[in-house]
Amino acid sequence: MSRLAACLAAGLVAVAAAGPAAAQTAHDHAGGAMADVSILAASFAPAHVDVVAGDTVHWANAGVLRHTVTADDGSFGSAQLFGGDGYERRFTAPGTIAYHCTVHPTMRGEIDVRGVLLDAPHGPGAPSAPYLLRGRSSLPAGSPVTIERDDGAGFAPVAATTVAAGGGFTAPVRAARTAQFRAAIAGGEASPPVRLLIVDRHVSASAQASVVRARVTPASPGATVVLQLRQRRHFGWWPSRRARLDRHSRVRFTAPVTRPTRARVVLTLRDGATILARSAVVTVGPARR
Amino acid sequence: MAAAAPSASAATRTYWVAATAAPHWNVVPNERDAIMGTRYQPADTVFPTVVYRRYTAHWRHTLPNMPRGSSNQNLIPGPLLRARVGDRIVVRFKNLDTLLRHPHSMHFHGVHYKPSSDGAYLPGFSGGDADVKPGRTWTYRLRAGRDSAGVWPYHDHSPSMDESLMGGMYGMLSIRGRHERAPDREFVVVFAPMGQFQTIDGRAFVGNTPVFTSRVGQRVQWDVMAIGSEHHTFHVHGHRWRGADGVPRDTQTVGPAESFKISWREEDPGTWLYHCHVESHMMAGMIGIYQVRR
Repeated sequence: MSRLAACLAAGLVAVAAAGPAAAQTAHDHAGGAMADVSILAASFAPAHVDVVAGDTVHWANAGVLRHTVTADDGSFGSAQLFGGDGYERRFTAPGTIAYHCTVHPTMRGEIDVRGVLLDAPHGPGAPSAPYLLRGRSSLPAGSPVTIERDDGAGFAPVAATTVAAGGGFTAPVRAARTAQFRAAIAGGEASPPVRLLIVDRHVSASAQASVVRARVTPASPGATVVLQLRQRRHFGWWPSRRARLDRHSRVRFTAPVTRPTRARVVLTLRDGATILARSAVVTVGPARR
Repeated sequence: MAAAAPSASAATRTYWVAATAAPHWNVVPNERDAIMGTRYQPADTVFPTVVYRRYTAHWRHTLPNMPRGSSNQNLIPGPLLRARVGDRIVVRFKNLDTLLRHPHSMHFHGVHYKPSSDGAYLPGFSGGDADVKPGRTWTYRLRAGRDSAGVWPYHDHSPSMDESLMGGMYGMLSIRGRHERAPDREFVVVFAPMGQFQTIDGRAFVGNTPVFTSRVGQRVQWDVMAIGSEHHTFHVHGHRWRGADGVPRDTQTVGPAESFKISWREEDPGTWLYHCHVESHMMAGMIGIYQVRR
Protein backbone atom coordinates (compact mmCIF):
# COMPACT_ATOMS: atom_id res chain seq x y z
CA MET A 1 0.00 0.00 0.00
CA SER A 2 1.47 3.36 -1.00
CA ARG A 3 1.97 6.04 1.63
CA LEU A 4 -0.83 8.07 0.09
CA ALA A 5 -3.17 5.09 0.07
CA ALA A 6 -2.36 4.50 3.73
CA CYS A 7 -3.07 8.15 4.54
CA LEU A 8 -6.27 8.03 2.54
CA ALA A 9 -7.41 4.91 4.34
CA ALA A 10 -6.63 6.49 7.71
CA GLY A 11 -8.39 9.70 6.74
CA LEU A 12 -11.44 7.78 5.69
CA VAL A 13 -11.97 6.29 9.09
CA ALA A 14 -12.83 9.77 10.32
CA VAL A 15 -15.13 10.37 7.37
CA ALA A 16 -16.90 7.04 7.71
CA ALA A 17 -17.43 7.58 11.43
CA ALA A 18 -19.38 10.77 10.79
CA GLY A 19 -22.76 9.25 10.09
CA PRO A 20 -25.83 11.39 9.53
CA ALA A 21 -27.18 10.82 12.99
CA ALA A 22 -23.68 10.67 14.40
CA ALA A 23 -22.95 14.29 13.57
CA GLN A 24 -21.10 15.48 16.63
CA THR A 25 -21.32 19.22 16.48
CA ALA A 26 -19.96 21.68 18.96
CA HIS A 27 -21.82 24.95 19.14
CA ASP A 28 -22.08 27.77 21.60
CA HIS A 29 -23.95 27.07 24.75
CA ALA A 30 -24.16 29.01 27.98
CA GLY A 31 -21.11 28.04 30.03
CA GLY A 32 -19.38 25.83 27.46
CA ALA A 33 -20.00 24.08 24.18
CA MET A 34 -22.68 21.52 23.36
CA ALA A 35 -21.88 18.05 22.04
CA ASP A 36 -24.66 16.03 20.39
CA VAL A 37 -25.18 12.28 20.66
CA SER A 38 -27.87 10.49 18.65
CA ILE A 39 -29.63 7.53 20.18
CA LEU A 40 -30.24 5.02 17.39
CA ALA A 41 -32.10 1.70 17.47
CA ALA A 42 -29.29 -0.18 19.18
CA SER A 43 -26.42 2.25 19.72
CA PHE A 44 -25.29 5.66 20.87
CA ALA A 45 -23.68 7.60 18.02
CA PRO A 46 -20.97 8.57 18.55
CA ALA A 47 -20.40 6.13 21.39
CA HIS A 48 -17.31 7.99 22.60
CA VAL A 49 -17.39 11.76 23.06
CA ASP A 50 -14.55 14.01 24.20
CA VAL A 51 -15.69 17.23 25.89
CA VAL A 52 -14.02 20.05 27.77
CA ALA A 53 -14.97 20.45 31.43
CA GLY A 54 -17.99 22.77 31.49
CA ASP A 55 -19.45 21.44 28.21
CA THR A 56 -22.95 20.04 27.93
CA VAL A 57 -23.82 16.79 26.18
CA HIS A 58 -27.24 16.56 24.52
CA TRP A 59 -28.67 13.14 23.71
CA ALA A 60 -31.53 12.95 21.17
CA ASN A 61 -33.55 9.81 20.57
CA ALA A 62 -33.54 9.75 16.76
CA GLY A 63 -35.39 6.45 16.53
CA VAL A 64 -38.76 5.07 17.57
CA LEU A 65 -37.63 2.80 20.41
CA ARG A 66 -37.61 3.69 24.13
CA HIS A 67 -34.18 4.25 25.69
CA THR A 68 -32.44 5.79 28.72
CA VAL A 69 -29.09 7.48 29.31
CA THR A 70 -27.87 6.13 32.66
CA ALA A 71 -24.41 6.52 34.23
CA ASP A 72 -22.80 3.20 35.22
CA ASP A 73 -21.83 4.74 38.59
CA GLY A 74 -25.35 6.07 39.14
CA SER A 75 -24.19 9.71 39.11
CA PHE A 76 -26.91 10.67 36.61
CA GLY A 77 -29.75 9.14 34.66
CA SER A 78 -32.42 10.29 32.26
CA ALA A 79 -36.10 9.46 32.38
CA GLN A 80 -37.48 7.13 29.71
CA LEU A 81 -36.73 8.73 26.34
CA PHE A 82 -39.26 8.04 23.61
CA GLY A 83 -38.69 8.87 19.91
CA GLY A 84 -37.96 12.59 19.58
CA ASP A 85 -37.18 13.04 23.29
CA GLY A 86 -33.90 14.53 24.43
CA TYR A 87 -31.77 14.68 27.58
CA GLU A 88 -28.82 16.85 28.46
CA ARG A 89 -26.22 17.13 31.19
CA ARG A 90 -23.33 19.49 31.86
CA PHE A 91 -20.01 17.88 32.83
CA THR A 92 -17.70 19.93 35.03
CA ALA A 93 -15.34 17.40 36.64
CA PRO A 94 -12.54 15.88 34.50
CA GLY A 95 -12.64 12.09 34.12
CA THR A 96 -14.21 9.30 32.10
CA ILE A 97 -17.89 8.54 32.65
CA ALA A 98 -19.35 5.33 31.24
CA TYR A 99 -23.09 5.12 30.63
CA HIS A 100 -25.63 2.71 29.19
CA CYS A 101 -29.31 2.26 28.31
CA THR A 102 -31.25 0.41 31.03
CA VAL A 103 -33.75 -0.90 28.45
CA HIS A 104 -30.97 -2.24 26.18
CA PRO A 105 -27.94 -2.85 28.43
CA THR A 106 -25.71 -3.70 25.44
CA MET A 107 -26.03 -0.07 24.35
CA ARG A 108 -23.01 1.60 25.92
CA GLY A 109 -21.30 4.98 25.66
CA GLU A 110 -18.56 7.02 27.22
CA ILE A 111 -17.96 10.70 27.92
CA ASP A 112 -14.35 11.78 28.37
CA VAL A 113 -14.21 15.11 30.22
CA ARG A 114 -10.89 16.88 29.64
CA GLY A 115 -9.03 20.09 30.40
CA VAL A 116 -8.01 20.64 26.78
CA LEU A 117 -9.08 19.45 23.30
CA LEU A 118 -7.77 20.02 19.77
CA ASP A 119 -10.31 20.18 16.91
CA ALA A 120 -9.76 17.68 14.10
CA PRO A 121 -8.31 19.52 11.06
CA HIS A 122 -11.06 20.33 8.54
CA GLY A 123 -9.00 19.46 5.47
CA PRO A 124 -5.53 18.40 4.41
CA GLY A 125 -2.55 20.78 4.49
CA ALA A 126 0.32 21.39 2.06
CA PRO A 127 3.94 20.47 2.89
CA SER A 128 5.54 22.99 5.30
CA ALA A 129 2.76 25.55 4.75
CA PRO A 130 1.19 27.21 7.82
CA TYR A 131 -1.94 25.45 9.04
CA LEU A 132 -4.13 26.93 11.76
CA LEU A 133 -5.05 24.44 14.48
CA ARG A 134 -7.93 25.28 16.82
CA GLY A 135 -8.81 23.98 20.24
CA ARG A 136 -10.57 24.67 23.51
CA SER A 137 -9.63 24.52 27.18
CA SER A 138 -11.40 24.79 30.51
CA LEU A 139 -8.51 26.88 31.88
CA PRO A 140 -8.99 30.63 32.45
CA ALA A 141 -8.14 33.15 29.70
CA GLY A 142 -4.41 33.75 29.40
CA SER A 143 -3.38 30.25 30.50
CA PRO A 144 -0.51 28.81 28.40
CA VAL A 145 -1.07 25.92 25.95
CA THR A 146 1.76 24.03 24.25
CA ILE A 147 1.20 22.43 20.83
CA GLU A 148 3.19 19.24 20.32
CA ARG A 149 3.91 17.34 17.10
CA ASP A 150 4.76 13.68 16.57
CA ASP A 151 6.51 12.86 13.26
CA GLY A 152 7.02 9.28 14.36
CA ALA A 153 9.67 9.88 17.02
CA GLY A 154 7.36 10.96 19.84
CA PHE A 155 5.67 14.25 20.73
CA ALA A 156 7.80 17.39 20.97
CA PRO A 157 6.72 21.03 21.44
CA VAL A 158 6.41 23.06 18.21
CA ALA A 159 4.24 26.06 19.17
CA ALA A 160 2.94 27.95 22.19
CA THR A 161 -0.29 29.88 22.56
CA THR A 162 -2.69 31.07 25.26
CA VAL A 163 -6.33 30.47 26.04
CA ALA A 164 -8.57 33.32 24.82
CA ALA A 165 -11.70 34.63 26.53
CA GLY A 166 -14.39 31.97 25.99
CA GLY A 167 -11.92 29.08 26.23
CA GLY A 168 -10.78 28.85 22.58
CA PHE A 169 -7.22 28.99 21.29
CA THR A 170 -5.51 28.86 17.89
CA ALA A 171 -1.97 28.03 16.84
CA PRO A 172 -0.34 28.09 13.38
CA VAL A 173 1.73 24.95 12.81
CA ARG A 174 3.74 23.47 9.92
CA ALA A 175 4.49 19.88 8.95
CA ALA A 176 6.57 18.51 6.10
CA ARG A 177 4.54 15.30 6.07
CA THR A 178 1.45 13.84 7.74
CA ALA A 179 1.85 14.16 11.52
CA GLN A 180 -0.07 13.95 14.78
CA PHE A 181 -0.61 17.01 16.96
CA ARG A 182 -1.81 17.43 20.53
CA ALA A 183 -2.26 20.30 22.97
CA ALA A 184 -0.71 20.18 26.45
CA ILE A 185 -1.55 22.26 29.51
CA ALA A 186 -0.08 22.74 32.98
CA GLY A 187 -0.25 19.67 35.15
CA GLY A 188 0.91 17.35 32.38
CA GLU A 189 -2.51 16.88 30.76
CA ALA A 190 -2.61 16.54 26.97
CA SER A 191 -5.49 16.36 24.51
CA PRO A 192 -6.11 13.24 22.41
CA PRO A 193 -3.95 13.53 19.26
CA VAL A 194 -5.38 14.71 15.94
CA ARG A 195 -3.90 13.85 12.56
CA LEU A 196 -3.03 16.56 10.05
CA LEU A 197 -2.97 15.02 6.59
CA ILE A 198 -0.26 16.60 4.38
CA VAL A 199 -0.79 16.15 0.67
CA ASP A 200 1.86 17.02 -1.90
CA ARG A 201 0.00 15.69 -4.96
CA HIS A 202 -0.40 17.64 -8.20
CA VAL A 203 -3.14 17.00 -10.75
CA SER A 204 -2.63 18.01 -14.40
CA ALA A 205 -5.55 17.74 -16.82
CA SER A 206 -6.16 18.29 -20.54
CA ALA A 207 -9.33 18.15 -22.61
CA GLN A 208 -10.03 17.12 -26.18
CA ALA A 209 -13.70 17.44 -27.17
CA SER A 210 -15.57 15.61 -24.41
CA VAL A 211 -12.58 13.56 -23.22
CA VAL A 212 -10.60 14.71 -20.19
CA ARG A 213 -7.25 13.09 -19.42
CA ALA A 214 -5.49 13.66 -16.12
CA ARG A 215 -2.33 12.58 -14.35
CA VAL A 216 -1.41 12.77 -10.67
CA THR A 217 2.21 13.25 -9.53
CA PRO A 218 3.94 11.86 -7.55
CA ALA A 219 2.36 8.62 -8.78
CA SER A 220 -0.69 7.51 -6.75
CA PRO A 221 -2.11 4.46 -8.57
CA GLY A 222 -5.46 3.36 -7.25
CA ALA A 223 -6.31 6.71 -5.66
CA THR A 224 -9.80 8.12 -6.23
CA VAL A 225 -10.26 10.91 -8.78
CA VAL A 226 -13.44 12.73 -9.71
CA LEU A 227 -14.38 14.67 -12.85
CA GLN A 228 -16.20 17.80 -11.72
CA LEU A 229 -18.29 19.95 -14.08
CA ARG A 230 -19.28 23.56 -13.44
CA GLN A 231 -23.03 23.43 -14.09
CA ARG A 232 -25.56 26.17 -13.49
CA ARG A 233 -28.33 23.73 -12.62
CA HIS A 234 -26.13 22.27 -9.89
CA PHE A 235 -25.11 25.70 -8.51
CA GLY A 236 -21.38 24.98 -8.46
CA TRP A 237 -18.87 22.20 -9.11
CA TRP A 238 -20.72 18.93 -9.59
CA PRO A 239 -19.17 15.44 -9.33
CA SER A 240 -19.94 13.89 -12.71
CA ARG A 241 -17.72 10.81 -12.96
CA ARG A 242 -15.60 8.93 -10.41
CA ALA A 243 -12.68 6.59 -11.14
CA ARG A 244 -9.46 5.14 -9.76
CA LEU A 245 -6.07 6.14 -11.16
CA ASP A 246 -4.55 3.40 -13.30
CA ARG A 247 -1.12 1.88 -12.61
CA HIS A 248 0.52 4.81 -14.42
CA SER A 249 -1.35 7.26 -12.14
CA ARG A 250 -3.52 8.39 -15.09
CA VAL A 251 -7.25 8.57 -15.75
CA ARG A 252 -9.49 9.20 -18.77
CA PHE A 253 -13.01 10.57 -18.44
CA THR A 254 -15.72 11.20 -21.01
CA ALA A 255 -17.77 14.19 -19.91
CA PRO A 256 -21.54 13.92 -20.47
CA VAL A 257 -21.94 17.41 -21.91
CA THR A 258 -23.92 18.86 -24.81
CA ARG A 259 -22.28 22.30 -24.79
CA PRO A 260 -18.87 23.74 -23.84
CA THR A 261 -18.52 23.29 -20.08
CA ARG A 262 -15.79 24.08 -17.56
CA ALA A 263 -14.31 20.94 -16.01
CA ARG A 264 -11.60 19.95 -13.56
CA VAL A 265 -10.24 16.73 -12.10
CA VAL A 266 -9.83 16.44 -8.32
CA LEU A 267 -7.93 13.89 -6.27
CA THR A 268 -10.04 12.90 -3.25
CA LEU A 269 -10.18 10.59 -0.31
CA ARG A 270 -12.00 7.35 -1.05
CA ASP A 271 -15.25 9.18 -0.23
CA GLY A 272 -14.99 10.94 -3.61
CA ALA A 273 -15.77 14.20 -1.80
CA THR A 274 -12.87 15.34 0.42
CA ILE A 275 -10.54 17.11 -2.03
CA LEU A 276 -6.79 16.60 -1.66
CA ALA A 277 -5.66 18.32 -4.87
CA ARG A 278 -7.36 19.85 -7.91
CA SER A 279 -6.33 20.41 -11.52
CA ALA A 280 -6.55 23.69 -13.42
CA VAL A 281 -9.90 24.27 -15.11
CA VAL A 282 -10.25 22.99 -18.70
CA THR A 283 -13.14 23.33 -21.13
CA VAL A 284 -14.90 20.24 -22.48
CA GLY A 285 -17.41 20.21 -25.31
CA PRO A 286 -19.46 17.71 -27.28
CA ALA A 287 -17.42 15.46 -29.56
CA ARG A 288 -17.25 16.74 -33.16
CA ARG A 289 -18.91 14.50 -35.71
CA MET B 1 -35.50 -7.43 -16.96
CA ALA B 2 -39.05 -6.91 -15.87
CA ALA B 3 -41.66 -7.55 -18.47
CA ALA B 4 -42.58 -4.05 -19.58
CA ALA B 5 -45.82 -5.38 -21.03
CA PRO B 6 -47.24 -2.83 -23.44
CA SER B 7 -50.59 -4.60 -23.62
CA ALA B 8 -53.35 -4.06 -21.10
CA SER B 9 -53.54 -7.77 -20.27
CA ALA B 10 -52.31 -8.94 -16.88
CA ALA B 11 -48.62 -9.79 -16.69
CA THR B 12 -46.13 -11.13 -14.19
CA ARG B 13 -43.43 -8.57 -13.55
CA THR B 14 -40.25 -9.79 -11.94
CA TYR B 15 -37.85 -7.42 -10.25
CA TRP B 16 -34.44 -8.39 -8.87
CA VAL B 17 -33.61 -6.09 -5.96
CA ALA B 18 -30.87 -6.12 -3.32
CA ALA B 19 -29.99 -4.22 -0.19
CA THR B 20 -26.53 -2.95 -1.03
CA ALA B 21 -23.91 -0.69 0.53
CA ALA B 22 -23.51 2.96 -0.47
CA PRO B 23 -20.30 3.50 1.51
CA HIS B 24 -19.89 7.21 0.74
CA TRP B 25 -23.35 8.73 0.32
CA ASN B 26 -23.05 12.52 -0.06
CA VAL B 27 -26.14 14.54 0.93
CA VAL B 28 -24.65 17.83 -0.38
CA PRO B 29 -22.27 17.06 -3.31
CA ASN B 30 -21.94 20.72 -4.36
CA GLU B 31 -20.97 21.57 -0.76
CA ARG B 32 -23.43 24.44 -0.46
CA ASP B 33 -26.86 25.77 0.28
CA ALA B 34 -26.76 28.06 -2.76
CA ILE B 35 -29.80 30.11 -1.72
CA MET B 36 -28.53 31.00 1.76
CA GLY B 37 -24.83 30.99 0.75
CA THR B 38 -23.89 28.44 3.43
CA ARG B 39 -20.91 26.12 2.82
CA TYR B 40 -20.75 22.50 3.97
CA GLN B 41 -17.71 20.26 4.44
CA PRO B 42 -17.73 16.67 3.15
CA ALA B 43 -16.92 15.59 6.73
CA ASP B 44 -20.44 16.73 7.67
CA THR B 45 -22.29 15.48 4.57
CA VAL B 46 -20.77 12.11 3.60
CA PHE B 47 -21.70 8.94 5.43
CA PRO B 48 -21.98 5.22 4.81
CA THR B 49 -25.43 3.75 4.33
CA VAL B 50 -27.39 0.88 2.77
CA VAL B 51 -29.93 1.29 -0.03
CA TYR B 52 -32.13 -0.76 -2.37
CA ARG B 53 -30.83 -1.17 -5.91
CA ARG B 54 -32.20 -3.03 -8.92
CA TYR B 55 -30.19 -5.80 -10.53
CA THR B 56 -30.21 -7.98 -13.60
CA ALA B 57 -31.47 -11.56 -13.13
CA HIS B 58 -29.87 -13.47 -10.25
CA TRP B 59 -28.34 -10.21 -8.94
CA ARG B 60 -25.51 -10.47 -11.50
CA HIS B 61 -25.14 -6.77 -12.29
CA THR B 62 -26.51 -3.67 -10.68
CA LEU B 63 -28.72 -1.51 -12.92
CA PRO B 64 -28.42 2.30 -13.07
CA ASN B 65 -30.68 4.06 -10.61
CA MET B 66 -31.25 7.12 -12.78
CA PRO B 67 -34.84 7.61 -13.82
CA ARG B 68 -35.32 9.56 -17.06
CA GLY B 69 -35.87 13.24 -16.50
CA SER B 70 -34.18 13.55 -13.13
CA SER B 71 -30.81 14.89 -14.22
CA ASN B 72 -27.61 12.91 -13.71
CA GLN B 73 -28.50 11.68 -10.27
CA ASN B 74 -28.03 8.37 -8.55
CA LEU B 75 -30.47 8.99 -5.74
CA ILE B 76 -31.32 7.31 -2.44
CA PRO B 77 -34.76 5.78 -3.16
CA GLY B 78 -34.67 2.25 -4.52
CA PRO B 79 -35.98 1.39 -7.99
CA LEU B 80 -39.44 2.60 -8.99
CA LEU B 81 -41.36 -0.69 -9.27
CA ARG B 82 -43.97 -0.29 -12.00
CA ALA B 83 -47.00 -2.49 -12.65
CA ARG B 84 -50.60 -2.43 -13.88
CA VAL B 85 -53.76 -3.33 -12.03
CA GLY B 86 -54.21 -7.10 -12.40
CA ASP B 87 -50.48 -7.82 -12.62
CA ARG B 88 -48.54 -10.19 -10.42
CA ILE B 89 -45.34 -8.66 -9.09
CA VAL B 90 -42.50 -10.94 -8.06
CA VAL B 91 -39.71 -9.22 -6.15
CA ARG B 92 -36.63 -11.36 -5.73
CA PHE B 93 -34.71 -9.80 -2.87
CA LYS B 94 -31.16 -10.45 -1.70
CA ASN B 95 -29.42 -8.93 1.30
CA LEU B 96 -26.01 -7.77 0.03
CA ASP B 97 -25.39 -5.50 3.04
CA THR B 98 -21.65 -5.94 3.55
CA LEU B 99 -21.40 -2.60 5.36
CA LEU B 100 -23.54 -2.93 8.49
CA ARG B 101 -24.30 -6.65 8.07
CA HIS B 102 -27.84 -6.03 9.34
CA PRO B 103 -30.87 -8.15 8.50
CA HIS B 104 -33.19 -6.44 6.00
CA SER B 105 -36.55 -6.97 4.32
CA MET B 106 -39.02 -5.38 1.91
CA HIS B 107 -42.51 -4.42 3.02
CA PHE B 108 -44.91 -3.14 0.35
CA HIS B 109 -47.88 -0.82 0.79
CA GLY B 110 -50.97 -0.83 -1.42
CA VAL B 111 -50.76 -4.31 -2.93
CA HIS B 112 -52.22 -7.72 -2.07
CA TYR B 113 -50.06 -10.48 -0.59
CA LYS B 114 -49.97 -13.37 1.89
CA PRO B 115 -48.36 -12.90 5.34
CA SER B 116 -45.21 -14.64 4.02
CA SER B 117 -44.69 -11.65 1.71
CA ASP B 118 -45.41 -8.99 4.35
CA GLY B 119 -41.72 -8.47 5.22
CA ALA B 120 -42.58 -7.11 8.68
CA TYR B 121 -40.73 -8.47 11.71
CA LEU B 122 -42.91 -9.76 14.53
CA PRO B 123 -41.11 -12.14 16.90
CA GLY B 124 -42.84 -15.51 17.14
CA PHE B 125 -45.03 -14.83 14.12
CA SER B 126 -43.07 -13.56 11.12
CA GLY B 127 -40.83 -15.81 9.03
CA GLY B 128 -37.90 -15.52 6.66
CA ASP B 129 -39.60 -12.70 4.73
CA ALA B 130 -39.08 -10.28 7.61
CA ASP B 131 -35.53 -11.09 8.69
CA VAL B 132 -33.39 -11.70 5.61
CA LYS B 133 -29.87 -12.16 6.92
CA PRO B 134 -26.80 -10.93 4.98
CA GLY B 135 -26.20 -13.19 1.96
CA ARG B 136 -29.72 -14.69 2.10
CA THR B 137 -32.63 -14.17 -0.29
CA TRP B 138 -36.44 -14.00 -0.22
CA THR B 139 -39.11 -13.83 -2.90
CA TYR B 140 -42.03 -11.49 -2.27
CA ARG B 141 -45.15 -12.36 -4.28
CA LEU B 142 -47.54 -9.43 -4.71
CA ARG B 143 -50.69 -8.73 -6.73
CA ALA B 144 -51.91 -5.36 -7.93
CA GLY B 145 -55.65 -5.32 -7.27
CA ARG B 146 -58.18 -2.80 -8.50
CA ASP B 147 -57.65 -0.94 -5.23
CA SER B 148 -53.89 -0.84 -5.81
CA ALA B 149 -53.91 1.82 -8.53
CA GLY B 150 -51.69 4.71 -7.46
CA VAL B 151 -48.27 5.16 -5.92
CA TRP B 152 -47.15 3.46 -2.71
CA PRO B 153 -44.12 3.17 -0.46
CA TYR B 154 -42.00 0.10 0.10
CA HIS B 155 -39.41 -0.02 2.85
CA ASP B 156 -37.37 -2.15 5.24
CA HIS B 157 -39.53 -3.59 8.05
CA SER B 158 -36.92 -5.99 9.46
CA PRO B 159 -35.44 -5.78 12.99
CA SER B 160 -33.12 -3.05 11.63
CA MET B 161 -36.02 -0.95 10.28
CA ASP B 162 -35.42 2.07 12.54
CA GLU B 163 -31.81 2.60 11.44
CA SER B 164 -32.46 1.45 7.84
CA LEU B 165 -35.19 4.03 7.29
CA MET B 166 -32.95 6.83 8.55
CA GLY B 167 -30.28 5.59 6.13
CA GLY B 168 -32.59 5.47 3.10
CA MET B 169 -34.00 1.96 2.70
CA TYR B 170 -37.19 2.93 0.91
CA GLY B 171 -38.62 3.27 -2.57
CA MET B 172 -41.94 3.48 -4.42
CA LEU B 173 -44.40 1.31 -6.32
CA SER B 174 -46.21 2.94 -9.24
CA ILE B 175 -49.29 1.05 -10.33
CA ARG B 176 -51.35 2.22 -13.28
CA GLY B 177 -54.95 1.35 -14.04
CA ARG B 178 -55.63 -1.32 -16.68
CA HIS B 179 -56.08 1.27 -19.43
CA GLU B 180 -54.22 4.22 -17.93
CA ARG B 181 -51.63 5.85 -20.21
CA ALA B 182 -48.06 6.06 -18.98
CA PRO B 183 -46.85 9.62 -18.40
CA ASP B 184 -43.97 11.05 -20.46
CA ARG B 185 -42.11 11.94 -17.27
CA GLU B 186 -42.47 10.34 -13.84
CA PHE B 187 -40.66 12.04 -10.93
CA VAL B 188 -40.11 10.39 -7.54
CA VAL B 189 -40.07 12.78 -4.58
CA VAL B 190 -39.37 11.23 -1.18
CA PHE B 191 -39.31 13.58 1.80
CA ALA B 192 -37.15 12.14 4.62
CA PRO B 193 -34.79 13.42 7.31
CA MET B 194 -31.11 12.42 7.16
CA GLY B 195 -29.09 13.47 10.16
CA GLN B 196 -29.09 17.27 10.39
CA PHE B 197 -30.62 17.60 6.90
CA GLN B 198 -34.16 17.39 5.54
CA THR B 199 -33.76 15.64 2.22
CA ILE B 200 -35.54 14.97 -1.05
CA ASP B 201 -34.42 11.59 -2.40
CA GLY B 202 -31.46 11.67 0.02
CA ARG B 203 -30.11 15.05 -1.06
CA ALA B 204 -30.34 18.53 0.44
CA PHE B 205 -30.46 22.03 -1.14
CA VAL B 206 -30.96 23.15 -4.76
CA GLY B 207 -28.68 21.50 -7.30
CA ASN B 208 -28.15 18.48 -5.04
CA THR B 209 -31.79 17.42 -4.87
CA PRO B 210 -32.97 16.03 -8.22
CA VAL B 211 -33.10 18.52 -11.08
CA PHE B 212 -36.28 17.32 -12.78
CA THR B 213 -36.70 18.16 -16.47
CA SER B 214 -39.52 18.07 -19.01
CA ARG B 215 -40.72 19.74 -22.21
CA VAL B 216 -43.83 21.74 -22.97
CA GLY B 217 -46.59 19.36 -24.11
CA GLN B 218 -45.37 16.41 -22.07
CA ARG B 219 -47.55 14.73 -19.48
CA VAL B 220 -45.62 14.82 -16.20
CA GLN B 221 -46.42 12.81 -13.09
CA TRP B 222 -45.04 13.43 -9.59
CA ASP B 223 -44.97 10.48 -7.17
CA VAL B 224 -44.68 11.97 -3.68
CA MET B 225 -44.23 10.26 -0.31
CA ALA B 226 -42.87 10.90 3.18
CA ILE B 227 -40.68 8.71 5.38
CA GLY B 228 -39.91 9.49 9.01
CA SER B 229 -41.96 11.07 11.77
CA GLU B 230 -42.99 14.41 10.27
CA HIS B 231 -45.55 15.80 7.84
CA HIS B 232 -44.50 17.65 4.72
CA THR B 233 -46.29 19.98 2.30
CA PHE B 234 -45.37 19.42 -1.36
CA HIS B 235 -45.42 22.65 -3.37
CA VAL B 236 -44.48 23.32 -7.01
CA HIS B 237 -44.06 26.89 -8.24
CA GLY B 238 -46.04 28.09 -11.25
CA HIS B 239 -48.24 24.99 -11.47
CA ARG B 240 -51.59 23.81 -10.17
CA TRP B 241 -53.38 20.47 -10.07
CA ARG B 242 -56.75 19.18 -8.90
CA GLY B 243 -57.07 17.38 -5.59
CA ALA B 244 -59.28 14.35 -5.00
CA ASP B 245 -62.14 16.78 -4.28
CA GLY B 246 -61.68 18.44 -7.68
CA VAL B 247 -60.47 21.70 -6.14
CA PRO B 248 -57.37 23.29 -7.72
CA ARG B 249 -54.33 23.37 -5.45
CA ASP B 250 -50.60 24.03 -5.57
CA THR B 251 -49.59 22.55 -2.21
CA GLN B 252 -50.45 19.12 -0.78
CA THR B 253 -49.72 17.54 2.60
CA VAL B 254 -48.15 14.10 2.94
CA GLY B 255 -47.56 12.33 6.28
CA PRO B 256 -45.29 9.43 7.22
CA ALA B 257 -45.70 6.53 4.74
CA GLU B 258 -48.49 8.37 2.94
CA SER B 259 -48.14 8.88 -0.78
CA PHE B 260 -49.94 10.51 -3.70
CA LYS B 261 -49.46 11.15 -7.38
CA ILE B 262 -50.35 14.29 -9.27
CA SER B 263 -50.04 15.00 -12.96
CA TRP B 264 -50.56 17.67 -15.57
CA ARG B 265 -49.80 18.41 -19.20
CA GLU B 266 -46.84 20.80 -19.12
CA GLU B 267 -47.37 24.25 -20.59
CA ASP B 268 -45.14 26.52 -18.49
CA PRO B 269 -41.51 26.73 -19.65
CA GLY B 270 -38.87 27.96 -17.22
CA THR B 271 -36.87 27.00 -14.16
CA TRP B 272 -39.18 26.44 -11.21
CA LEU B 273 -38.76 25.55 -7.55
CA TYR B 274 -40.40 22.57 -5.88
CA HIS B 275 -40.10 22.14 -2.13
CA CYS B 276 -41.63 21.18 1.19
CA HIS B 277 -43.36 24.30 2.47
CA VAL B 278 -42.75 23.50 6.15
CA GLU B 279 -40.30 26.39 6.50
CA SER B 280 -37.82 24.63 8.79
CA HIS B 281 -37.67 21.66 6.39
CA MET B 282 -37.11 23.91 3.39
CA MET B 283 -34.29 25.72 5.20
CA ALA B 284 -32.69 22.36 6.09
CA GLY B 285 -32.56 21.25 2.46
CA MET B 286 -36.02 20.14 1.23
CA ILE B 287 -35.97 22.20 -1.94
CA GLY B 288 -35.12 21.55 -5.59
CA ILE B 289 -35.52 22.84 -9.14
CA TYR B 290 -37.70 21.72 -12.04
CA GLN B 291 -36.74 22.82 -15.56
CA VAL B 292 -39.28 22.92 -18.42
CA ARG B 293 -37.97 23.46 -21.93
CA ARG B 294 -40.02 24.66 -24.88
